[in-house]
Amino acid sequence: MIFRRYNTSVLAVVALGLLLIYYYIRQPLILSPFGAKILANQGTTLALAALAQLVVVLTGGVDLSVGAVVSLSNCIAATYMGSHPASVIAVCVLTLAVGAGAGLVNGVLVAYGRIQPIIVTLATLYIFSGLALMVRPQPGGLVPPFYANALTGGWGYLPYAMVALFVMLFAVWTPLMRSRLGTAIRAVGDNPGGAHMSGINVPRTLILAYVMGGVFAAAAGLYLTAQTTSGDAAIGTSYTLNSVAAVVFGGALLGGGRGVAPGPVIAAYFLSIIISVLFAAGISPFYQSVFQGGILMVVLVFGNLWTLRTRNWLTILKN
Amino acid sequence: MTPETTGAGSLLEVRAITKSFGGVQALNAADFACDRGEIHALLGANGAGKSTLVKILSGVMAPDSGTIFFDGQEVTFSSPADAGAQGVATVFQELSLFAHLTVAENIFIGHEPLTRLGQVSGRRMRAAARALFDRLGIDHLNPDAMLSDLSLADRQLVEIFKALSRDPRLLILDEGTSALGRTEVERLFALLRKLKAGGTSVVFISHRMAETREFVDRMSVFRNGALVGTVAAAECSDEEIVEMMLGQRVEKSFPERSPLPAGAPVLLEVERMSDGSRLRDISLRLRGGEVLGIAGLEGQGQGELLLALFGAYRRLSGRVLLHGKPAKLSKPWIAKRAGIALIPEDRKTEGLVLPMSVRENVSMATLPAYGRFGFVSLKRERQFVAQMIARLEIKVGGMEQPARSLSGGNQQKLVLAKWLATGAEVFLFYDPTRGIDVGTKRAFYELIAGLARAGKGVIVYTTETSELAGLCHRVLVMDDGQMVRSLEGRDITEPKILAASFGLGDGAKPEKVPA
Amino acid sequence: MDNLLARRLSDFTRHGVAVAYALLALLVIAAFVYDPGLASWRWIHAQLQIAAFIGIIAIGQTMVILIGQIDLSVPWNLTFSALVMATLSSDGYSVWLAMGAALLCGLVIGAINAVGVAVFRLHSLVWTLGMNALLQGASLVYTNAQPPKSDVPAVVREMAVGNIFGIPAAALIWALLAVFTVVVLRRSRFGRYLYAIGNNETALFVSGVDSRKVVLGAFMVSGFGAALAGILLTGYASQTYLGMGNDYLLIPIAAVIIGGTNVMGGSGGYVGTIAGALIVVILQSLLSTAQIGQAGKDVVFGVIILALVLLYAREARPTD
Repeated sequence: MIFRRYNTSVLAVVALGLLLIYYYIRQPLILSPFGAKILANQGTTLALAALAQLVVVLTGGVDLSVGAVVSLSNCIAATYMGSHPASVIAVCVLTLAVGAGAGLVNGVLVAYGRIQPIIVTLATLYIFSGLALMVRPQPGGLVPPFYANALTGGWGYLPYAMVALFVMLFAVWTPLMRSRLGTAIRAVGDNPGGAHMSGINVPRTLILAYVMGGVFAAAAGLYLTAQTTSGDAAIGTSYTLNSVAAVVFGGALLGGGRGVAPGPVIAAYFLSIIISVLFAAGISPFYQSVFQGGILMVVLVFGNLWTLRTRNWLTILKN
Repeated sequence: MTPETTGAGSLLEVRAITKSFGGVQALNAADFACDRGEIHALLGANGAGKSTLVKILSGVMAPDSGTIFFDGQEVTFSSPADAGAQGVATVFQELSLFAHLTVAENIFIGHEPLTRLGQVSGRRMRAAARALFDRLGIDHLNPDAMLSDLSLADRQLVEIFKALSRDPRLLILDEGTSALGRTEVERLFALLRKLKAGGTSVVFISHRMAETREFVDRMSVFRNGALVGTVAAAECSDEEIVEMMLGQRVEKSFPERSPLPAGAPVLLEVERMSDGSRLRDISLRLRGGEVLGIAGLEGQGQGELLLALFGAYRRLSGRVLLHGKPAKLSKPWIAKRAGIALIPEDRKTEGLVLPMSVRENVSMATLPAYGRFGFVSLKRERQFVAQMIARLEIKVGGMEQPARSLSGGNQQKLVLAKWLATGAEVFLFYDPTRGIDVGTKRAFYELIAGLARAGKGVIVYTTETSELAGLCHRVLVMDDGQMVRSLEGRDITEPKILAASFGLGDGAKPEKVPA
Repeated sequence: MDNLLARRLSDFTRHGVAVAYALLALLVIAAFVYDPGLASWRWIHAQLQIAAFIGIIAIGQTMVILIGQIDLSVPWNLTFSALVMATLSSDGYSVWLAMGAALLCGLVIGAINAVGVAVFRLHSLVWTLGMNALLQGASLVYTNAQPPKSDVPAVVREMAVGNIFGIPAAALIWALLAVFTVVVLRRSRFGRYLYAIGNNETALFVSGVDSRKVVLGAFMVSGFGAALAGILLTGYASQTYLGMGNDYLLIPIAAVIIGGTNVMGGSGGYVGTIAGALIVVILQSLLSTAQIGQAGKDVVFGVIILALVLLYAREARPTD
């Protein structure tokens, strides 16, 4: 039963486990403080982006602008951060606020504009990445070393990346999803009409979900800034696809209503680490996108195999 | 305006409520009153207006006119949430549940118990759910189970608990027990009696009259959108209630039934068809020139049977023979080629593409006939459509008019026109006259009789018992996915069909029907 | 109003097609007023040239959007197919065979897209997004990240930048395909079924029509169009390069939406898309003339699409 409900996320756990074992055999060095740090750093940006995607997917939508918000926050952070700790903190807060604003735009257009999430976020994808390019026409910027160290360093076997992720997960995500809002978000994605009949304010719930998604995408951008120590308006592009892949692989249902954080987070680490494993295994890095796209497609088909079992054609069509 | 007050006993009183849907009068100056602390059943044949009344009382829709008094005050219910806040909770059939939430989350959605930190308290929510279960003596429900893993009966229980969780003063159960077993129904009524003792009133709609009669205090019978009368449940016999539901014989004029020729060929034969859930061991036989009626309460598998014959189901067990030869009806286009036509349940979502024109809808199933190389000759298409419009006397401004702008009856004629052109031998009608005006109904009866006269086979499922009695050569009664009774000749009368559908009288015992 | 012409006229005004053509006329006038130097055959010639690429991609995208889906695999389908052609022709195969292989590639990619949508009932959005990434990787692997540097065959160059009677050959190819597309959408069974699926796939299915084949057709046309655009762009740029398709995701979709096709499917058509394609091209040209960079263009296009969708393609209220 567990497998049926969380089918693909169980698969993600197994896949990540096997991947790490294989990686260890090829490269024993990963079982060291340094290795742990490298592994943790690799997946954190995508894990945060996947959470951004997850909250929108839970409402029954898809957010194509996640990658653009990652780029935008990366550009803002790297451009305005300065080197004084106070300005760093101020810019981090500003960046998260920009992310929230981006989410608000998406949410209002979906909830009150009554436009399909796909079209809204496809259009805002261009708007946000255009803004990112305005902030930072050329890659570059300045990121103080202490900022980078605070997020990508480590203390023994404990990478700070894990600390950052856990803070976002347990101090932000979990409390929100365990509040009435969290249930409302899942209810809206599950059965919007039923949610309305149960007295849930559907537009408000949608907007808050998109705002939350924007904040997490911005957090992903902040982490990415610590990793790359520069700003690049094109850097976030791949996070749209990979966040969708992580969410689907992590057991969430496209169409809404079902999904919990651990699955997408683990899937995000898998999708990130597999790239270095491919590299370690001597496979050309050109295969990166083949794997990312291919994994998404395989997981999609796997997750929807039930359609080949449903008896009534009409229910398939009306779905 | 001074607040009008009603008799001290009535918790709810409805006066002269009227509601119509596009020309069809669902409620016509209906009255209804429910006392404090009583269990009150609403009865009536399909289409009598019960469901509309419930929707108005629960805030799902507003009445066209009329007033509602609740606890002596005139009220309006603007939404289900609003009705809930005023103390009216309704158990809908699965409408408001969430497949991917747990049982406890479903029950307390929107008013979950919180911890001091504003978090949903799973512990308190589970405890509250268990307390609710205990009140009803239910011990098999797990508050943490996913709703999607529950049986239909358990989901209905969850709906009931969801309504109860708000401590309503009036609880409305719409066909709330149709999926519950006998013991569950008894438990439910035990709880309802407890609620009643605490002053809560219950309005209860169920088709299982025989099962529920002993539990309710009073019964109100509806017919044609108005109240016929309210009686004490203990003082009325089944026969009297059936009579109230049917009322004075309104002689509808049905076309004369053509006699079934003795040597009429068997067009369609179904042997032990099952789909694993809603259809169980269905066997039937249809002759050319025969009108075969399918009766029964709503949702007993009639719709599934017609869809299955039209190829909309896959992996059916059993056998289908067309003209004596085995046929595998696995896709609608295969069924279409084999000469089967379906006039589906919902003309708006299944029968027609509403925004497209009359022309485009009528030619939808036969497009290849009007052109070559994948193209459509507009001239030939228009000729054909004009012919159909004339033959079925469809009232349209023009054939480029969108199907949406037509009346219900004319829309239904479009669906039929689409299928007449395919040269089908077997016509499946799913409730063809629902929501259409009397004149067009009459035209439909003529069309159905005409098909039979022309040697076609017709299977009709309709919720209007009078139609079955007036049109059919034979009537099969379905219950819970099975054929439980076959009525022929003189037995095809409204009371007998209704009694068999309700499981009353000599139709009470399910029995296998020889094909 | 039992007159086909009258209905076409009302469709024209109702579904934003008239808006699109009015917008196009305004834009052209605005362009000539803003910079009288633009009012030349040279400028029009250049616009037609570029609009052809967008218009050809938008044929398939119009059909896919008409059935309520979307094809996000265009950018790398375009690139991959172009790379296949360039590689084959630099390996010495005949140019016709190389082009045929590229077009076949596009068709196969479209067919795979359709299988995900029609058989597995996946939403085209994520399925084609995955396909796009897959093709991106495939392009890198296939060329080792080094697109062939050899000369583009003369035929391909002629198709893209040649002129016939002073009109760009690419625009003539587009015109031919456009006429065919309009006829197919209006007069063929396939066209009729596309609209039916976009409005109500269940009703078409219950009419005994295999809607899966129609979905297959729409996505294959989209794949074919992307491949053809890839070939033409190769000729236009005189080379193939990775990322040559990057600008061809939003712009053709914008052309379709600006042209009045409903993003939810079921209404609209290619006549509007033609205006849409010209509008986006002229807008780009004007933004360039005004020295607005790529960033500004992206923002402007995003805002314009949202504004137009808000104007005439909103979903019905859930309570209606």
